[in-house]
Amino acid sequence: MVQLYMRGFCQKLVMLFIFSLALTGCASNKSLELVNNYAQKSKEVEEALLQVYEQTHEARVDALMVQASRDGIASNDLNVQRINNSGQMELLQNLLSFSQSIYLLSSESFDKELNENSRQLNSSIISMSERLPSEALDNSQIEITVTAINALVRARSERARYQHLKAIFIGSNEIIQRSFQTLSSELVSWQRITTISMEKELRTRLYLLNNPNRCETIETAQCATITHTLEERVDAYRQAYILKSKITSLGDEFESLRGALAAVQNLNSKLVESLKRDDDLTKSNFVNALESAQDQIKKLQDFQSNL
Amino acid sequence: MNQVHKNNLAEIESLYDELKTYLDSCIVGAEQEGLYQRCDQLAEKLVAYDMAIIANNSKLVEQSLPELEAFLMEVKDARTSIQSDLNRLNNIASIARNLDKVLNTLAKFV
Repeated sequence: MVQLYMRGFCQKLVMLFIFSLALTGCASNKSLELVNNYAQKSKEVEEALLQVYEQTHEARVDALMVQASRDGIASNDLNVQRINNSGQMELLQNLLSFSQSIYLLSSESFDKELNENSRQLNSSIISMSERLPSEALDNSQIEITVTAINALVRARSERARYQHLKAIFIGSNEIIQRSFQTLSSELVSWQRITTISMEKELRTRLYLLNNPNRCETIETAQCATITHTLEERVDAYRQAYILKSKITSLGDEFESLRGALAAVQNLNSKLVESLKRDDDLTKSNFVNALESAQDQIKKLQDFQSNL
Repeated sequence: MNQVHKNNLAEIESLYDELKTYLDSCIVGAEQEGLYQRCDQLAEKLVAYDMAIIANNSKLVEQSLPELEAFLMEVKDARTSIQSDLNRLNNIASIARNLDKVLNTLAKFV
């Protein structure tokens, strides 16, 4: 009776294996990898955008400090109001969490847990089969059954991940595209605020440096005569030169940021297309878009590390 | 933005550019310091305009946040659901292990 029960159990496992293969026919490891790549790239661009917001705020603070050294400043005015972008910040935080979550969902490894489960199942089946009469279950059947257990646990996890990611990506496509579009369209304002603030700082610095004895003409109590050694003066002009170089490169930096945002939008579209159709052509389109996004992001990161 | 605002902005922009170009092109003495202050004032007006655009976008963006948050929840639920799948597999493994023990015990009696 025990032998009959064991034979039935093993046969059920083999059937389960076949059933699981039928279910997982459409599951795609490659697609999970694409999602993983997309999540990483979008995270990098979102972080670059946050850095640009901070750079703009710093430029405004620096401009005010230099202006204060020319005109003097009252305590109440020593304050740089932050640009009201709380909505964009929250949106970016959500986009970052979204990227991070889909990254985890597409890449987190359950291997250790799966291997432990498989090991326990395997040892039970081998142990049971040892007590079966030889005609009841031959070695090849044992092998198939053991493989079935391994395949089953992995396939279930992969298939579930793929199905969830597919639904989430297709559903969120519109809002993600719209979010990136909004963030990209207002970059022209961020660029102008940064440029104007840096220009103000540079103009004021050079004016003060070029007129170290201006207090002979301007007789206000706040006027300070600047006394520099030659080396200090050279260094101060060098600082102005560095600032001017930054202003010159701002156009390219913002252009590369716009390029990176557009590349991530394109990557998102290609990913959705690939998840919908799950064929080689759309996957290859995604890989091309990924290469282009990588180039754009690298260019942007080079700019930001130089600033 | 209506036409009057557009015209005002264009005028401020043009004045700023003109003054900036002049101040950038030569060494201006202290007697003309007022020009720098005038240029700064125009700059502040342009900055205020761009800050208003960003603040307005901030409000618009806030309206779409709940939609995005719903997708975030969906990702979290998906991860939970996969974990619960794994827990079920854990149970299968545990049943199989126990079954093995039962069979061992039974084998002693058979």
